[in-house]
Parts: sequence; structure tokens; C-alpha cells
Amino acid sequence: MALTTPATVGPRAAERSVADQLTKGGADWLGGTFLVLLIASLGFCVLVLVTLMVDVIGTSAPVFSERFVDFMTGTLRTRADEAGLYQGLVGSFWICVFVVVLAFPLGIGAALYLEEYAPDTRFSRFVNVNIRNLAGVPSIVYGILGFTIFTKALRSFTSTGRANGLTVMSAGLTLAILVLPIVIITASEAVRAVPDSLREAGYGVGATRWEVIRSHVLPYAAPGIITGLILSLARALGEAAPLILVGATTGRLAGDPSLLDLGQLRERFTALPIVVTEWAKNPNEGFDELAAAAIVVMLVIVVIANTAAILLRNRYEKKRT
Amino acid sequence: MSVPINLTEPAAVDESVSVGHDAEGEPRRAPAAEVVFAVADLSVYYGDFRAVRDVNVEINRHEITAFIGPSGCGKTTVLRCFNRMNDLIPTARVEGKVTYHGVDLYDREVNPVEVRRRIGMVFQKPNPFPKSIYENVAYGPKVAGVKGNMDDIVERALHGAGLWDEVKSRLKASGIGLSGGQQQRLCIARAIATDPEVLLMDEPCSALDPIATARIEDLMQEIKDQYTIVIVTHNMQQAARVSDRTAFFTTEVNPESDTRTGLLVEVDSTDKMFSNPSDDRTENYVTGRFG
Amino acid sequence: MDAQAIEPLRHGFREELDQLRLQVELMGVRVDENLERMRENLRSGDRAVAEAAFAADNEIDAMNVSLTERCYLLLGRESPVASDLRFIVSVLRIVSELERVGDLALRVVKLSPKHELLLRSEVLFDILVTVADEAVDIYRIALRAWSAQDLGLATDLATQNRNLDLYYERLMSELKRLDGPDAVRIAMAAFTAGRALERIADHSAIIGARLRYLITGEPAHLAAEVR
Repeated sequence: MALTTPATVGPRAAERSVADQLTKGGADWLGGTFLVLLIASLGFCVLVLVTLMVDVIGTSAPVFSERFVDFMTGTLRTRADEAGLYQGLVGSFWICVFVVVLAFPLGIGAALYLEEYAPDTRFSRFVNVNIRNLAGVPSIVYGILGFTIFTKALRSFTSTGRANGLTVMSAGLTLAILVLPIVIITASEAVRAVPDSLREAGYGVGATRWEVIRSHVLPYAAPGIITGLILSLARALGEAAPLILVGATTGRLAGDPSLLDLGQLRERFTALPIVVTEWAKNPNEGFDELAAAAIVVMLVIVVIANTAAILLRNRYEKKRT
Repeated sequence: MSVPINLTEPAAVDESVSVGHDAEGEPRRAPAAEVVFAVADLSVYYGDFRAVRDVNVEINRHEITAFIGPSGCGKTTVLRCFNRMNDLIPTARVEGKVTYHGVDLYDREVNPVEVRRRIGMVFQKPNPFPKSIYENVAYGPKVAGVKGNMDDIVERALHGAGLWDEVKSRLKASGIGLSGGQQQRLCIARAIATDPEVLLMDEPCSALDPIATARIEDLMQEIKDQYTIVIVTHNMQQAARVSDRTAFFTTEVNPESDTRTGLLVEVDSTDKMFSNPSDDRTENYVTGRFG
Repeated sequence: MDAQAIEPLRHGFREELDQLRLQVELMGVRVDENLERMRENLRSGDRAVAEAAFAADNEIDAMNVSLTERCYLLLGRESPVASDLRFIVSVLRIVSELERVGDLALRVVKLSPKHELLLRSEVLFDILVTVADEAVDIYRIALRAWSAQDLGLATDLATQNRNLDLYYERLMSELKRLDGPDAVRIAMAAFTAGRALERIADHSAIIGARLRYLITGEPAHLAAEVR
């Protein structure tokens, strides 16, 4: 509606009329209600989280206050007051090592190839779609895959005789494959987000394709790639379903080797998610607290990993501005 | 007593070029220029679409040649042919010949990376690397494997771009933190650090304010003796001020597909193009008579 | 040229240029009117005509100033190139030539007190009047050339002076033959008039050259001057 000022009325009245038009319209009730709803949703989520945290931390408190070191260094036992998390920690540690050593380079390499080198053909688009599908496949399927290939078919490689293929190596390889599509996708997105002007600048001064990628594309995409790596590591840490199939031990686990003994890679193992599951299922007294304590440890590890990721990402982002 | 009017015919000298007229209205002639780029019947396609056709032009040494014309007429496309930058677009295809000192740039044996070390480029929007000023300038020589004192090379390039005094105390500072005009001069320094023979400039001043623009135009005049410069510009006054020769491109509609293809209309000395062009289309464009 | 519609641009500027052309023509017409008064005055020595001529010349001078200023404004504001630039530059120079012609006409009119001197020699007077007619005719060709922006007429101006040169020669020889007590005074007046008229023809030819530069862009035509 156009602002009209009646010609027959004096300037003071004209001012008032403009003022009236500008100040009319009451408060935005609809917008306000919407805002309240949004805050309520956020509040609800936070409430749930806080409740869970409080519950878990509360339940686990006795374990930490009474026998923290013992808990962290102990092995799986039938008695709650003797059981410890150490073997779970070791198993999960080595699984993460496998993920880092295998999935990270392969995933980043695949992403670089797909984004920088591959021509835009039907085949490359087909490959891209398939990788995205793979990221959505339920993890149990990966478990089956891992069981079939690493536990059974490649048993001689992944395992000592007595372990029957149900080893850390099998689990590590399985989880590396599970996590690979995620790494590829997030690295692809990060590389795709690098502005073309940067590449052009690099080519313009006479750099080869690899030099442009190494000096310009990768550093620029680093924050995004790192975020993706940490996401996939956290995922690898928390997945239980494949571990069940690939044979993480649920009961007692013989042997108590040092962390760095590579021989254990081909022996039976356990990992954090499985430990938590078992303790949570155990009806005997004291295991609730153990389960909660293990959950707290996992949470702490995830928080540390995320913090490291954020710090690294910030460092690379600062370099880019 | 009749009025003496000079109607002497200009001397028919094939190789010399007209560089204005002296006090008696006689045309001044300069010795012949050496040809750096010779473009013959060039057409550039993106897939099936012909973006520009039938371009014939020569770029001379130590001259500034301007490409002018409306949007979509192919001037940037042709410019990017000179340093094989069109290779970066997968669907781009070149027909015809672009020779550099007689060598066909699109010959299979020719390495585009080597081409780009000798033919530098400055882009429309300043795009310094997100690294320090020093690293920005040093990058080109480094990947080219240039031996020698890198500090000297960087300093010389920054001097050449007229940026040294402003940044000499903060070479480690990020290149992105500079102002727009400074960033563009940094990009110029980066381009000349590899000691190229040719500088291609794609609307280098279009993102800059008038003062930064004037600085860069002055710079172009200063470095003209050391390089050969080809500049694409939308700003006609800039082309008139800065260039020795001007090439005017325009677009024509393809009736079947309702697309427009660019073509070269006229190439001549800048003085002639802006005082008395031969083609009506050129006249209409430079006077802004028709859009 | 592209068959597709090309919209004309810079309407304001185009109209300004048209206006400028018409204004120059108007100034040329004012000068022509004064040349007519000059002829009238040469024949009759009429005082009133002389007064009118002086008044009209002020107007011509004022037009010179305003048109010159308008050209400077357009140069600064519009950054003209090619034919637009040639047009404005030519207008500047032609307007200056028109003003000169006006001044020269006035120079003849200023001789009107000495009119009876000129009447003394019939032959001399006849030649003078013929030279005046010839000069005004040449000027009118220039005016027509400008009004029509005609290259042919402009080119003709380069060669029109032949007849005038002959008459001028005859005038000079008649002057030398003058005799009698007032011979010198008569000769001086006639010489002043004849010279001014001859210059009017020269400046008209220069206007032709400026117009040729405007239309063709050949720098050779920039060199036209009165020697």
C-alpha cells in the first residue's frame, strides 16, 4: 500500500499520518509462538540428554570413586567387583588403528580421485551413487560381510588357529570397510567445496594437477576432511552389531598382553560396545554400575576425539583466512 | 588564395603500423612489431555449443592488446586459449590454430604446464592463495623449479607489481588480508614471478575501485616494455587509455538453436578504433549507441 | 548487422547531440542574416541596417560562448568516442569559424561611414559588390552542407574559391589604378572590405573541411587553416 499524504491537510497532519502507517501492525503473535515452539524442542532435547547423562554418571559414580584404576586396568570377570575395562579398551584401540590406517588414506584417496581426476561419465556418477548407498547400509550387513570374508574366507590371514577368525584384525578390517563410504563422502564434499578460483590460480602459475591438489586443494579442504575423519572414528568406536558377528568375546577373555603386542591382533578380543552390552544384560548385582561406568568412559573418549577434531579444524580454518 | 588542404595519400608501407598523425596531418609510422600469438580461424566449442567462431588476430610483442565487446562474445574464451586454461573445462574443444612464436599451442606434444609458466594470467576477481604474501609470490617459481635466491625473486616480482613498499615489512602476513586492489597487485606479482613473456588479464580491474584501477593501469604502462599484455575489458575508456591495439568482438544469434555465438568483428590500432572504426558494429558499440 | 532488435541507448546524449546540431545551424542562420545586412549596407550605406548588424553580432557572440560551454560539458560528462567525439570537436571548431565570419561581416559594416568613398569609382564598387555576393554564396553552401550533413557539398567547398579569386585579383588591380586626391583613402577602405570578404570565403571553406573530418574521420582534414 503506498504511503499517501492527503494534499488538503497541513504538514503536521501529514507527518502524523505517515507515523501512523509506519507504526501500525501489532506484535507478531505467530512468529512469537513459533519461536517458543523451537525453544521448547531444543529444551526437550537438552533435557533428555541431561537426564541420560545424570543417570549414567550417577549410576557409575561408585565405580569411579571406589576402584577407578582397577576398573580401567582390569579384565573381564564374572564378578562385578573385579571386572575391568582394559581388554575392551585395547580392542577398541586397535580397531581404531585399523580404521585410521586403512579407511582414512583409502577414503581420502578415493575422494580425491572422484572429485579431481575422474571425468564426468555415467560410470563415475554410478560409482558416486553407489558409495552414497553404501553409507546408508545397516551396519549388521557389514558384520555379515566381515564375517564371511575375514572371519571365514581369510581366516588363515586374520587369525591364529585357535581364534577361528574371530579376531581384532577381522573386526578392524570390517569396521574400516564400514566407515570407508563415510570418509569418502565427507572428503568429497570438502574437496568439492574448494572454490574453483583457487584451483585456477594454481594452474595459472603453471602448477601440475597434483601440485594444485597438494598445495591448495587439500589444505583448503582439510577442516572438512578432518571433521569427516573424526565422525567416522566415532562411528567405528560405537558400532556394536558388526562386532557381534565378527566375534567379540562376551564372556571372559584369556590373556592379558601389553597394549602394543601385535600378536594379539590375530587372537580373540573384545571391544567397548560389546563390553557395555554384556554388562548391561548381566542381571547380577553391580553390573549396572559397571555398564554405566563403561558408557561414561566411551563418552569421554568421544568428547576428547571431537575436541581434538574441532581444535584441528580451527587451526586449518585460520590458515585459510 | 585557396585554403591548402592536405589530401596526400599515406605511404603504402606494408609492415609498418600507424601510430597517430603529426602536425601536418601526415600519418606517423613505426617499425614492424614481432608477432607473439597468431590466431587463425579459431572456433571454441563447449560440447556442441559453439561459443566463438572464426577468430583471426595477431598479438604483437611489447604491446597491450585489448579485447572488447558485449557479454557472451567470447573474448574471455579466446583469452583463455592463449594459456590452455580452457583445458580445465572438460567439454571445451578448440578448432583452428593458436600459435605462440610459431608453435601450435594445441599440439599434442605441447605441455600445458610449461605453457602456463611462460604465459601468466590475472583473473577478474583477485584470487590470492590463502597463504602468506611471500608464499603467494614464491609458489610459481617454486613449482617451476627455479633455482636462485627466492627472496630476490619475490622482491623483484613485488617491485614489478608496485606492491613492495606496501608489504615489505609484512611478507609473512596472509595474502587474503590485503585490500582488493592490493590483492590484485599481489596476483600480478604472482604471475610475473615466473618471469613470463606474456601476461593475460581477464577484466583485472572490474572488481576494484577507481583508485586501485588507476594504479593498475599505470602499472600496465610501466611494465609494457618487459611483457606482452592482452587484456579483456568491459570498460571502453580503459581499453582506449591503456591499449595499443583493440579487437572488437560481438555476438550473433544462431537462428536454429536460439543461442548466440561470438565472433571477431574488427582489429586495429586503438586510436583508429576509437576515433574512426571501419565497421558499423564497432562504431555502435564504442559509442554506446546500441546495446 | 544482426537482424535481432538492437535497442538504441543513451537517449539523453543522442538528443543533446541533435540539439547541438540544430543550435549550430541556428547560429549559422544568424550569421547568414548578418551577411545579408552586410550586403545591404554595402549597397546602400543604410545606418539603421548597420545598427541592426551590431546588435545581431552580440547575439552571435553569446551563442558562440554558450555552445562552446555546452560542448565542454558533454565532453566531460559523456566520454564520447569515435563519431560522437568527432562531432563535438567539430562543433567546437565550426562554432569558432562562424563567430569569425560574423566578425568579418561586421568589419565590412564598420566601413559604412566611408560608404560614399566607395561609390566614387563605379568599377571598384561593382567588383566589391560582386566579391561580396560570391563570398556570401560560398558561405551559404557551407551552411547548407552543415544543415544536411552533406559530404558532397562539404567537398565542393574546397574548390569554390576560383571565381572569387579572380574577382579579388581584379579588385587588387583596380585599386592600383586608382587616382585622385582621395585615392589612398578609397583604396584602404576597399582593401579592408575586399580582404574581409575574401576571408569570409576562406572560413567557409574551413567549415567544409571540419565537416569532412566529422563525416569521414580522415585526419587530413584537421589541417585546414587560413594562411
